[in-house]
Amino acid sequence: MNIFNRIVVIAGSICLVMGSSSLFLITIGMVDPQEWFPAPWHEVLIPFTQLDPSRGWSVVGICLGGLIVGALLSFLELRPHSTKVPALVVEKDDLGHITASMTSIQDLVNREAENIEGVRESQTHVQNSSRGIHLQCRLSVTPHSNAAQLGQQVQKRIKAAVEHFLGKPVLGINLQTQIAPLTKHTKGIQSRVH
Amino acid sequence: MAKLLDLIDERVIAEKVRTSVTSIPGIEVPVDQDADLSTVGPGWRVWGIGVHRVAGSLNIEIELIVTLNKKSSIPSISARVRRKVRTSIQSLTSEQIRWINLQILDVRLKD
Repeated sequence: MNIFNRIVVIAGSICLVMGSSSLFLITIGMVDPQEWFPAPWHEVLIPFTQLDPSRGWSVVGICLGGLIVGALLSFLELRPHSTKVPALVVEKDDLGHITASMTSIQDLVNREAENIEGVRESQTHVQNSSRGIHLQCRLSVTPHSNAAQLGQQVQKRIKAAVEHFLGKPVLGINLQTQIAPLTKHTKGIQSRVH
Repeated sequence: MAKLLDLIDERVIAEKVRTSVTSIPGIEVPVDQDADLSTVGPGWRVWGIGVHRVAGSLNIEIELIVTLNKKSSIPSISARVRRKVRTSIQSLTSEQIRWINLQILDVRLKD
């Protein structure tokens, strides 16, 4: 969301909180509209002080709803948003840490896989643990390729490349191969090597 | 008796770090919108380098774009960057260096 939209949402939610709380206090009789609001407004608000109990409770309910929604929107928009890029810790020692962005590792794996004959496209998801890296790769392969052989070749190449370039052990590579071009669908990845 | 140190301006340190890092083949420091980090002062900004002083010691954060060949690796090139940064800062000041954190934003492969 851009800055202008955020300002609009913040201003709107603050108005909602102020309007709901004012109406709530008027309806339950804690605030007199004639004392608190200027000329055109108190005439509009006076009827809320004379509501019958059933309608009064409905207005109170709506006001509380508005108050909660407004407060929630304000909180969500005002809390600081993290701009940090997801990253993998390559090394951590007394002098600090070395991190590599997840996208750079995904690109590295995809490039390595796509360099193998028979692989048309690759999509990778990287998971990091304290012991090493897990990779989940989806490959689009050519129709005449042998998926089993190609899979083994891809696993060997990716494992060697990641371990060499990152210096971290690869604990598992899960591959899913298909002939159709890749889509964003990630369901049904099956483990082949651990 | 407390040792008196000449505190070097953070801009000087950031620029020195940037120059020393980019002199290593295969290392770039991002600029403008590619960088998440910067050291900022009135009328100036050094992209990709963060210099902070915490409890009398220096913390350095560096963003990198790394081009690797078949022989190099991220740990080896990172060690080289840290060595170079440490040496270049020590040539400027005797302040203690606490951390040199590296954030690799992109990895490129050279055939």
